[in-house]
Amino acid sequence: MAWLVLLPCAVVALYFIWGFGAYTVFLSFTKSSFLPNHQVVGFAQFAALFDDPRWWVAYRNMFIFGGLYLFSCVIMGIVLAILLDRVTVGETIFRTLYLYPMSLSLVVTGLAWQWLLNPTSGVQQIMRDSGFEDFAFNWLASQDYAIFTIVFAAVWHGTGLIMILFLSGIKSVDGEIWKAARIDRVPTWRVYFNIILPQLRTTLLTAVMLLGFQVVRSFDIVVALTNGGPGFASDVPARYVFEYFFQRGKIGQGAAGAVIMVATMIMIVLPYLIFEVRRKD
Amino acid sequence: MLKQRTLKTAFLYAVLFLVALYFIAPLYVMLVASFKTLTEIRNSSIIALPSEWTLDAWKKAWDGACTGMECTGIKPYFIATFEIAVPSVILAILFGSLNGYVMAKWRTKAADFLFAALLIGSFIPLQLFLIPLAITLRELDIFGTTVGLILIHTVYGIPLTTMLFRNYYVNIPDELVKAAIMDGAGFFKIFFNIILPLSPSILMVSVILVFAGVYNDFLFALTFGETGKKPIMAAVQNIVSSSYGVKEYNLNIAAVMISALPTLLLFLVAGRFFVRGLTQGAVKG
Amino acid sequence: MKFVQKSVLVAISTVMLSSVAAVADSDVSHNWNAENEVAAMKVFRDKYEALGGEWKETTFPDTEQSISSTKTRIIGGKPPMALQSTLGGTMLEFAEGGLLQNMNDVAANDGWEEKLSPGLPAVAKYEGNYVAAPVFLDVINWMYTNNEVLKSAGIDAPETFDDFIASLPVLQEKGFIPIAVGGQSWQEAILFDHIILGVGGAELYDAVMSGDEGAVASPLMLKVFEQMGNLRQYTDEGKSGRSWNDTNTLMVSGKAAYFFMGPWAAGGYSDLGAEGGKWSCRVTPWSNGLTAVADGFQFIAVDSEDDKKAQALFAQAVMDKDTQIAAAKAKGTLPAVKGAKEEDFEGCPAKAVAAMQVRQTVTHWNGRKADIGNAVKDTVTAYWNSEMSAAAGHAALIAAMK
Repeated sequence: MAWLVLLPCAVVALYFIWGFGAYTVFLSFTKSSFLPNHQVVGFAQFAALFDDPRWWVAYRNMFIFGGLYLFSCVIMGIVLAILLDRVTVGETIFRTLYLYPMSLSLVVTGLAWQWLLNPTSGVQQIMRDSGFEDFAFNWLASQDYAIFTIVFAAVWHGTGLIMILFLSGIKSVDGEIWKAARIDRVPTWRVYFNIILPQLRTTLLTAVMLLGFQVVRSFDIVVALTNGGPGFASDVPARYVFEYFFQRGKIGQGAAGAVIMVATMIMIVLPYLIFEVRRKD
Repeated sequence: MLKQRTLKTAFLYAVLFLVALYFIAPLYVMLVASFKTLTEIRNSSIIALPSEWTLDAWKKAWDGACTGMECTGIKPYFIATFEIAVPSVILAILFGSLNGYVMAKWRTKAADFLFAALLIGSFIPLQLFLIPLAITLRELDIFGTTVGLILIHTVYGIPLTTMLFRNYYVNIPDELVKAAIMDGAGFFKIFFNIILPLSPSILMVSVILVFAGVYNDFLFALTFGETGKKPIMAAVQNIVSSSYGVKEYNLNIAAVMISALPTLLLFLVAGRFFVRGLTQGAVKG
Repeated sequence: MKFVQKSVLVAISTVMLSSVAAVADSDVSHNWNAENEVAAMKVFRDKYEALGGEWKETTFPDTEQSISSTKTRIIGGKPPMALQSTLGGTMLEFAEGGLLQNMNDVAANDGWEEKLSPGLPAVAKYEGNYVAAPVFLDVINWMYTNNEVLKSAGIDAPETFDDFIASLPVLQEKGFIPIAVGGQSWQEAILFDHIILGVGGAELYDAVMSGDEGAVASPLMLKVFEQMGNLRQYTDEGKSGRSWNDTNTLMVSGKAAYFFMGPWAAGGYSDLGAEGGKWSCRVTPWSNGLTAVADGFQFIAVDSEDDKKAQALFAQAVMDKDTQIAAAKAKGTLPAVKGAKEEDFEGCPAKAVAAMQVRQTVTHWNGRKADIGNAVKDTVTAYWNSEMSAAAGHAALIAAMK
């Protein structure tokens, strides 16, 4: 009986996830252009991919975006969790305010920030209208800075979750610690940084995994906020792959990009995961 | 001493308040803009309150906004999304809870292996599935249909629900199951009479997470959405980027607001389940 | 328990019910969204319905999304019957993949060869077979001017490229945006075209368009890049990702002075009154003649007889001479069929009909093979949006066009 019940699950895991994944890896070694084509051409698609300056921009952006996004969310999340742990009145309100963006889709997030960051209508204009005429904040229109606007919006969307993770972690720490700390006259901030936070390594692991997942999936927010522009300065692999699959009709090259995307993720996540799991044992 | 403390507290609240501004700003800007007339949007600052509140943009966005020759607003897409989301949620939870039950209470090597395969597999970026998915849907003759999207969301919802339920059921004492077996209860009887009655909260968590996932989905909506019946996120992006000679910002913003409402309300009403699901179930393996 | 049983029932019945609705769509995938474009499509739709067709459409904000949806649907086995787009790059790519329908029978019956303006039959064919129906000849080299802005800056509408360049700093000084440019690569490519025409004239333009490597590598093209780099400072910061409609609004609202865009932009100026008053459109003065791109419907290869019939009917509708002229009027552009007279049109398109007699090149970056077209657009957009040196931009273009 148990086996019969697991059958759909097995189909999902073996066909829709691993089977599909394997097929796309296979496609990256084929001539596929417009339609999938099973003629194997070796590493030609990877060569074409590595030859494309656009790919390198997108690939580099994944690291810029990923690094800043992870760093900002974790730091802001921890700080906010500590601050909220200190207040007694209004915790619920502030928590709700910090957390609600999480319920919105990334498309909505991207569109909302687009209005706010648009140099001719958003923040820049508000500041200029209120008397700061030289105020400049035009990152959305800048090749060098557009990728940071995506970080901005994504951090807005993701920080709340990290804050909640750490807040529940902090609250679950034994109350005796506080009593002991008070007796020893240890300053509050030292209790947090030297005693409580080191106990929350698993929470950090969870946070990093959740956020890392978002980085690789960063398709929606890029499409809605900058659509990869100006030019293709804020493109990311997830969007690049999509464009080469369905707009440019270069399925093989797109698949090669997807494979590199996954390989990169494995190379980064695996050592960390192994390190953490080993440490636990 | 006391004064220093008050100062500290004041500082603490000041910081919390400033941060709250960052989180509130986009929502505030969108809300006020959606109640303004187009002329006012162009001529007033985006943070100013409307001088004259109007619901026109909301009404038009709901059932009057045009894309091409069709002027249906986002209403049909809204409904279409629910037609996809409701069955997907039910199916994903049905399969997920049964899987979780088997994996937690009838542990076998094969079940453990499947669990690992699902867990690791759920980290594969969805982009890798697009092409084979298109081919599969074609072979099943459900490409570009509601059924196709239900299948997709069920399939890719199962890893999440399976994990949620498995992790929840692991904490139910095995003795309960053993006692039931002694009493002669079968596989399904145990599931329906013992396990499920213990699961209302995890059911709630799953419903919310899967629904939000399906509702907020953009990639599959864009790629496999039915002609003229695209799911909401793809439709909203379509409406916002297409435009008649002059872009009607208030209309676009109202459309985005409407599309954001269901998950926003869900969060405000059942936020604690949201949080519990995301913090406890999803990753703890 | 009842809850679960009920839910399963609901789930299953929903799946059953909605599967009934799944039938093939014989729709047209297009991105005609602006008011005038919609009006033109209505003309075609009405004719198609009058002939007995059943109209279905799928609309997209831009041509990229329309093309990509069509490609996805081809993979998924449910393509639209026709795809509206510029005829050229994408069409060649589709045709090469064997994804387009052979329309020779319809074309022969309907006499397309004689009906179409010179140069257009070639654009609609792949390896000698008709695979598309050209409906419009969209002239790319239009210059829109906001005359009020020019007047308040004390400038006469420029007649030469040099005058144009000289007027830019003056306009900027007065606080106007000299050139309105959007943020999509095809819009930037149109600006690029105008600079080529300005620096090297029609001769250089035609040579570059035909892929003449000598012309592409010539010092004149380097000058084109230098000039384009110089122009970066004369537009505004809001350009990133901006649609052509929004860019047009800069003109209409009196913020910008010049705008280079196809005839479709004229529809947005109705608030400013008649052409020639507060605003003007003309064939860009330094381009002697027209550079145009054919817009039309590609017919996607379909299997079912019903779909084929629908395609034949739709082809007949859109290739009807009077229908096409009426649609062209509605859109503010030129029809692909012969026999349009200057007096049939007003305002900008009437000027185009006149200019057509001088010189006409039916080609544009979109008209080149998609690979090259995309590479050129990638290069231009990267160059325009960065601080890249002219030499580096030129080198990138030479590499892209190989």
